[in-house]
Amino acid sequence: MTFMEAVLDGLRLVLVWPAPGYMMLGVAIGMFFGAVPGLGGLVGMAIILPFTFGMEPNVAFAFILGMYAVTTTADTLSSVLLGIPGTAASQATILDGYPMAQRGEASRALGAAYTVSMIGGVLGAVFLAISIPVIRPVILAFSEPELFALAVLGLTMVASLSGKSIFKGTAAACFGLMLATIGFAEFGGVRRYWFEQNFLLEGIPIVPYVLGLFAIPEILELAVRNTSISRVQRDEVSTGGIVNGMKDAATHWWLGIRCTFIGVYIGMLPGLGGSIVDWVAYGHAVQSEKNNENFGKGDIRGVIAPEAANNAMKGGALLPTIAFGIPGSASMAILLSAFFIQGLEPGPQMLTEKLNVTFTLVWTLVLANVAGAILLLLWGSQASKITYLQGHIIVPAIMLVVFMGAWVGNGTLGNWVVLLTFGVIGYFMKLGGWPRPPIVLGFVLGKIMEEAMNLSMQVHAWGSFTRPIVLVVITLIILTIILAVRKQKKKKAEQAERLSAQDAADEAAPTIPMVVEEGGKNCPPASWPISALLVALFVYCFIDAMQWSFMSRIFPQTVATAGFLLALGALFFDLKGRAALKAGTAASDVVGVDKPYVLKSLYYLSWLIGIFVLTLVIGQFPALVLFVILYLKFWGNFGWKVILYYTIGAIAFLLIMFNEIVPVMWYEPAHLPSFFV
Amino acid sequence: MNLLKKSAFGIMAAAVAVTGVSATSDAQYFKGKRVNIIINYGAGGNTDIQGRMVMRHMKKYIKGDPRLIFRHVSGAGGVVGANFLGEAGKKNGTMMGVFTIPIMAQVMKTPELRVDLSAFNYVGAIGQQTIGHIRKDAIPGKTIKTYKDMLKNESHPIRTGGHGPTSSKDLRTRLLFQAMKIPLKHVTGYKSGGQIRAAILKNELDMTADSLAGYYGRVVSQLIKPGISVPIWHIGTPGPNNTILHSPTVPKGIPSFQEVYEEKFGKGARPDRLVWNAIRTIGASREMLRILVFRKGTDPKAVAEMRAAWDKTMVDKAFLADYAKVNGSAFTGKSGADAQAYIKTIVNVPKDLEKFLLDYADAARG
Repeated sequence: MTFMEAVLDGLRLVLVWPAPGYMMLGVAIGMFFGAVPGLGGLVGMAIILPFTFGMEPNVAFAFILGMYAVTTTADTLSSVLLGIPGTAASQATILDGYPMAQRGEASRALGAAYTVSMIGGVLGAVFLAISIPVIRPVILAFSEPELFALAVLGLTMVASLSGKSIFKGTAAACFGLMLATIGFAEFGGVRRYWFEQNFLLEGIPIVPYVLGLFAIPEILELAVRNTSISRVQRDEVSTGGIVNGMKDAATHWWLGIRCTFIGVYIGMLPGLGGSIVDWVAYGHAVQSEKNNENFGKGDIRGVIAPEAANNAMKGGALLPTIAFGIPGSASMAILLSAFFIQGLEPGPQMLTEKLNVTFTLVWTLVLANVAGAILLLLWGSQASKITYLQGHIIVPAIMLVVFMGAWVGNGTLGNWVVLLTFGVIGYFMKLGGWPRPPIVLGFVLGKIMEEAMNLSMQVHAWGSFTRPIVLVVITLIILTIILAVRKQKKKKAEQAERLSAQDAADEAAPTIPMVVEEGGKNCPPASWPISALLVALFVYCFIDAMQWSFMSRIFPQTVATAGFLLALGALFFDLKGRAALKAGTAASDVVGVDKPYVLKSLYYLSWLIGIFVLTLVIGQFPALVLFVILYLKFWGNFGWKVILYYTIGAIAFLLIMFNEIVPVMWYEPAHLPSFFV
Repeated sequence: MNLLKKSAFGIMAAAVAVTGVSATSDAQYFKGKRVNIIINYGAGGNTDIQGRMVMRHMKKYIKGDPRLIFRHVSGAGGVVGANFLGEAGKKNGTMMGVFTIPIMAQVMKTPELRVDLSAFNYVGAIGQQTIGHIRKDAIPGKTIKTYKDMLKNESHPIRTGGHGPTSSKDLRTRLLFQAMKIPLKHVTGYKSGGQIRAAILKNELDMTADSLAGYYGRVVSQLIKPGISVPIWHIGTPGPNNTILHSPTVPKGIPSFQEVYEEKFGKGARPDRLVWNAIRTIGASREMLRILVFRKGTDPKAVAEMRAAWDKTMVDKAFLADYAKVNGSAFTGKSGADAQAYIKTIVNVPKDLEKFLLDYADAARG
């Protein structure tokens, strides 16, 4: 079979009934699993895999890949509309997508995101197709030293995500790196920072962690201020339509193409994958685009970059799986199982006698990406209406999604502990002007870095640093740092200029900025306790690690030392700012704490903790339903009729969604009989 | 508040009506129930694939046709899931574990394992051998075609890979090479078997071992057929008189460890007593690599129902065919009662062996 014959036969196999039907079913399921935070492609693949046991290979792959392809398209919905990442691959999208929704431009953000997702997904699949014959040496050239170097390169993006204070950004990144060391370090056989908690042996689960950091503070604001997500009325926005977003995607086509390639290459490298691809693409956009001062405040390029990359990544991720049977992620491990169940062996035969099957995968990715994007583009305008609803109406619904999204992974109470803990941390960080993205970046890179460092030293020792690709990446790291320092200086000068101009304008008519970028606020009274806590935390982490074996402690102690110094720097500036604020000599961008708002927020936080406590007493399902009723009554002051309808809707949602479609293991206290048997 | 209370109760009542609270009967214990299946490794791994496949077949023999809900509670080499079932699981039969047994954690009494594996109620067990394979060019200047080609190597270290000093794979690999008096350079900390195989592909490692499912599912296509590696041994089944026998599930061409050992050191030869006993203990654990268990104190009716279903599954032709397809080898397993008795023989090791294994693991901590 020639190459072209394989291409055409692959297309034929995708179009032979019932393959297209199953592909569309997969697309529908994938859109659903992508849009609901906490579910994602991995859960979807694990659920549908058993249904493919008796299918023909082309049908089975159309079903599985149809679902897999579109989760990172649909995940944009909750990232943009609610500020909650739909999957791990759309975390960076919220940085600009959500501010756009707050500005009434949700549809525009979605239009751009779906367009570049489609193009990224298709180009990723095309890249997969043309790379198949030549990719082997590239993949084999990347080993642990290269992964470590790439992870360090990824960390340098922290500078772009740090907002106003480089001390806070880098200290926050160290906090993330530190969190990544929690759990059972198998390579040393050591339990680290686990506080005798079984669930912490596996480390902090990423979904509740990210939901806590980003979703809880946003929900809190909606609940306390009772505003809609969009701060402007619908008819006030003229640039908000889906078509405008599609035009944006065309305008910034070169950024989209660059990020597509970033996605493909990161996807191709086993071990990096979905959780960092969006951050790398976002960092690249901030570092490489001109006029970047609006990133983090609702710049459409901040949506285009991660969304192009996270769909393109999937084509890349298929490469090592098909060519060598090396799965780069858990999703790919499931796909590998599907190969075996179908009697196919990944490896050279997939590139020779089974090339037509490989092209079935390529065509499925192409067609599913197009179908998914078109469906979502058609539906995007309707979905974006949610951003104009009153806060008290949407808060209970979002709470259900967030709490259940955090629960779905493994159904343990530990997930809720993580959700609430990082919800509180995220809230205070936001209040104190601490950027949250570096914590997530540090967390996902920390796991990769420590593992890669450990293996590199065992296998290659110091030779790790003289490998050609590593040398190239080290050069890139140095260049990135130099550029970042220069940009930071330039940014500060521009900010100072803007500030003095704004001061003059504010004297005439004071304004409140609608959207503040992550870390863009300077509030020393709320910030210094965080700095002080981090200083103490890093000291504790360093001391606690002293008892462990060398390989188990080297990474956490190095991070703790760096984190300690950086947090100390942040504390110094916080205390200085606080003193200036008290003396009345602070700069005009330094703000104090809005005490009534904080007190009301803390009161609402106590309600969230109440859900947890109530769950321990009466069980998870009744606790969630009770929360909805009480919230609507006492926070929203709605009438009983509204409460009744809403509650019936909430119960139906919980039962259909989490008892039927994605059945979870509900928590039921031991002292009560089983409710869900 | 009265109205609030009434509404809340009304809604609760509606929810109860929708989901249905079932009455249990002796005849069909699981009728109308949901059974949560806890898998102690992540989605897509061997434990997950096998667990789902087993339960899919077993479901048809569970009277009352319960709904099965799968959950992954992974971490610390399967210990987190075991702790979860033992500490938080209900005793009414609605939570069952399908585990890869974290046996070395129990044998070495590591603190992270907080439950006694032998106190679980065993529904059944599946045995699965492990096959060692090595790169053909592992010894410079020589092509390894069979295990015999590596026996005389006593100078060039073989590069082996594992997951961590206390993992079964690491202990086994190091013990086997030590017994054979073949030098090794052991690299530990790989997250998965896939990562180790990738390192072999890149010529960063020479040797590792995989379960039959992994061997026939991944290793054969990635390393054996392309001519990169060859199989050298399987650990074997502990037999009478201090022996380790060739497992019936492994082809004759892949010898047991004892066969390889005797090829080098002579018929009836054995290494140091503690080393040999440690190898036998690890070999014994392969006889019940995957276990189906309820927590201690679970309703005996639930255990009996599940055991009966497992007994029927073990002889189900469709199951056996699917098992062979997924694992590349014939099924071997134990009934619940047999597994319950067998686990005690594995975990109750003499004190000196327990200490030996602990010291052996400690010596590998970096």
